Amino acid sequence: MATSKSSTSQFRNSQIDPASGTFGRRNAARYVGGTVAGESHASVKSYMIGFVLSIILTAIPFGLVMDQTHGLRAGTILAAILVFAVVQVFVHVVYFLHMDRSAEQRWNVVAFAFTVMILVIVVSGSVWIMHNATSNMEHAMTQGSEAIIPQK
Amino acid sequence: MSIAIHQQSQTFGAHPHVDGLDHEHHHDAGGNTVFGFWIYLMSDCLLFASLFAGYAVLGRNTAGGPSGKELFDLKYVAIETLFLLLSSITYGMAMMGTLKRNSTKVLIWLAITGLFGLGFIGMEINEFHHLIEEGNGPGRSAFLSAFFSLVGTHGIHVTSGLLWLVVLMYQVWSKGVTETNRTRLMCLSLFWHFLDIVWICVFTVVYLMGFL
Repeated sequence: MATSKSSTSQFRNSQIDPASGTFGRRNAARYVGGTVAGESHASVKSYMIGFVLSIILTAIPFGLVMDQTHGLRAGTILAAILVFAVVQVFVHVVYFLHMDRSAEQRWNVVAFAFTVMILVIVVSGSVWIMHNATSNMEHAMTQGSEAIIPQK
Repeated sequence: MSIAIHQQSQTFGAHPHVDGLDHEHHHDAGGNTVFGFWIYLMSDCLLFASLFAGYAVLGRNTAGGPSGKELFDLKYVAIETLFLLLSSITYGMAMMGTLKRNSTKVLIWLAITGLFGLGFIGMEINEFHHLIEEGNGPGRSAFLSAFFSLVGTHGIHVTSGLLWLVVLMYQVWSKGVTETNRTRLMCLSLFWHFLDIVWICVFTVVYLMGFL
């Protein structure tokens, strides 16, 4: 009973096409696309907030890398510029693409979240695998050619 | 189970949008188009993901050639970034103009956006030209192959965005801010802001991290 109850509440929160009882294509698209490029959420103010935040979030990482007199370690700077990049991507998504948690935006956000997940898997997976491959190759080269095939 | 079904039908009955199906019929085509374009952008995002993965793997394989630290000029990249960011905000102003169907305002802001975009792409072509002239073209090392593929693909996107911008300016000039033109402008808006987001990742991963 618990499952059917949760599915009911899920339906209540979603934009269901009452005629077919499904996420009709027309229905879904209306709620998705209607305000996507910022019809109702966009304003000069939101664009200006996004712009000022972007300038700050760009200037700080550039400053950190260009002016090395602050004496921070490379690892710290690396972590900082990555954090600034992620924050700025979110600033752009919110203030320029006007994505939010409203029902109209749900499918945009779902598509975006899925893409980000694939992106993280592809990039971090490639780096991880190739890093392992490189260190194994280096190991093999120092051990001589027969060590390329693992000895058990 | 029967209780659950009953509850569901009640939910449908109480839904405020029950008879709203035809009210916004006019907007449906535009909504579908913009959502479809968003899905295309997400697939484009995966294209960039693979290029970034390639760069992340090959970025340090300089084959005895120059590394990013010797080649890049961060001040130059900062100006490029500023151009792209400014073009994003001016496009936003053009979108604000579409709300009031003010085609003059839209055209002026689109023209300014185009100029900033041209400035960006001009600086990028100049950078590429210098690199190739000094013998540091894409054939020099795996690092430079990955660099030219990633940054070049972004540049090609910006160039196609500029072509699209010119076509839309002609459309707005000849037909005004019609419903169809607004949908088209929304799609280009998504495209343009998306390219700005990709550029954030480019200047962080390629230029700033290359300089560390």
